[in-house]
Amino acid sequence: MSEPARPVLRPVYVLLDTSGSTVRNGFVSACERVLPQLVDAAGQRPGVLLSVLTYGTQAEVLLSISEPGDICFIPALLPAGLSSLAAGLQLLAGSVRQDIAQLAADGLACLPPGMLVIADGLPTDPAAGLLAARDALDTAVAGLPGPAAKAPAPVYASRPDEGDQLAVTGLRMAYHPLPQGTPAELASSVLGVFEEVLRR
Amino acid sequence: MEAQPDGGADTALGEALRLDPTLAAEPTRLRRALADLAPHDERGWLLALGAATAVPALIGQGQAAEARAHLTDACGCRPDAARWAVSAWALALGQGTGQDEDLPAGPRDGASPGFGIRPGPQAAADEPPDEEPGPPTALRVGVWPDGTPSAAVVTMRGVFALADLRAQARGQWRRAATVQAPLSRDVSLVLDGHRAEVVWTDHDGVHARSLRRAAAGRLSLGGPRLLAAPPEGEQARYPLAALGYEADTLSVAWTAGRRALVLTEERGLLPAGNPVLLPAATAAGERLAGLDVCTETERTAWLACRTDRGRVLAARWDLSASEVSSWRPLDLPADLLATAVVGLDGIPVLVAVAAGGALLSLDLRAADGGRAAWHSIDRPDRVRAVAPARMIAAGAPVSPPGAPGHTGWLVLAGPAGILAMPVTRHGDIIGCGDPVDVWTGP
Repeated sequence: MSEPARPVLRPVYVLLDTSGSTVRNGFVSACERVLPQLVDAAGQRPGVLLSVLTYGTQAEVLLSISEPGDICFIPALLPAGLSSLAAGLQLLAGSVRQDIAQLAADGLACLPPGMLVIADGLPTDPAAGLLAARDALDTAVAGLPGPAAKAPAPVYASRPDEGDQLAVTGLRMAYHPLPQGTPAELASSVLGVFEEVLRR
Repeated sequence: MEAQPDGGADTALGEALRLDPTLAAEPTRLRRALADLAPHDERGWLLALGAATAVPALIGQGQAAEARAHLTDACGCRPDAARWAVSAWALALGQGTGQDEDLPAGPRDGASPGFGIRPGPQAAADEPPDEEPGPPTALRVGVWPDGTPSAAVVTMRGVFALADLRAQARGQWRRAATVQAPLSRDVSLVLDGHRAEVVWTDHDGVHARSLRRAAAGRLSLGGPRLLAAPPEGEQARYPLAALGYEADTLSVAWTAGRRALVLTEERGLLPAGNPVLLPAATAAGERLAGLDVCTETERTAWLACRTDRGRVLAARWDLSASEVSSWRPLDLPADLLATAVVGLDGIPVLVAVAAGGALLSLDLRAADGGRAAWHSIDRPDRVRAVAPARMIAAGAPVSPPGAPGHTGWLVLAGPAGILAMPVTRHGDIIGCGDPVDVWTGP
């Protein structure tokens, strides 16, 4: 009897802002509310692997790349520190490179990874450091094996703030405005854009 | 360790600069960083405003008082808010002692923290930053169209302006600038009804700030602007004289080497034009020691200068043609320690302090016509009783002669302090009213 065909894998990364300011206006509450929903949504799509990273002054892996069904515990978010998207993008670049290399080494082919940044406004990094981190992500994606190297630009979801759209354009990301509403409305919008990323 | 989200913006500022010192130069990014490190303290906006208005640089130059004045004058901050912001910046930059009134407020327990520095008298909400200018090294008087006399001084602590000489000066002096080598600098006041400006020299050029009389008789100053820069390798020094005419022109006669005088004019909102060389007043090896100007008519003014050889010269200035006549040396009845000019009832009058302390006056127009006649100014007893003044300044409103409040003001500064007195002209004689003390420090 032959082994059932495995679906082609699709790594999806969520890079979440957990800087100190996210305690305001229900941002972190919305994120805590929506994370289980993201896991569920990812689990609805065969082959999707999910990883959640966070960034404050430094970046950390909240959930390492996993099949959604294997995720049974989501660590609490601990808002603190600056909004170093540069640190987040550097971690994202490293994670994409290592995760997909590991999957390839295991003989598992990957579709281009999906990447979603959920931010509470613009970062606090100097422009040069931020652009260097963005370049590092491009370099990491370009070095992925096979079709994974053709990953679409990350989506940057954020509440409209001063210069957000222009800044995000400069970072070569697609911009998704989040609402200024309640945590529930914010969570709903995040879930919506996450599903768009899953469909891309 | 990172500042906790419930910490104050002042604490967060130090943490933000430790994490990224370049934040001090990027107010928008700093504001975001402070929102991250002190998300419940909206005073981060004020600290970011400080970054946007050169507060860190001023503190770095040891000019905390000027930084406070800049926040209140140019940014409309309440004095207590400005003081808090400057104190927080000073502490974050390692300039605060933690022992003086610059110490930022400690942890607050409310959602809307105030700007109190510490319990006690300093915490009064509207208390302005007190300035103690100290003894002047240069002194000028100007009179507002409504007759209110103002003064500006250069002291070893900076350039200061005072709204009303007649009122209690303590707590009312406002810092216009902190200058390098104050003994080399001069100041001038222009209060002509169209413009109100304090103008001064510093190592890097001639600067000006607009003046406005605010509540409680205080002065509010606009942002500083550079009117003219000296040639490469030189500095703008003393003396200096400034004049406003027509509706929108500010003319400044200044010098880089105390020999040649140049004229810089700023018209309306346009940048000041290139300096124009004025006729030479000094002989070879001679240097300028003093300079003053007064209006005669709407189209004419008079300049008078004093040199380091004790000579005093005058020149008529045709404002409509932008021409200054050749300087005419005046015959002096005595050695003069200090001179000033003032337009009284349309007559340009030179006033002077003689070596023995006598006050003298001269009608410059008559002197130009060869009819020079010096007159004594009858000094009040209070003036006679003190040591001779080393500085004299005079001013009068530009309102038409005979208009209400058309009284000039004469100010003397010397070892006994500063005395200001109203002056009026009766024919050729200048009469003085009762002098008042002008406080510049303990």
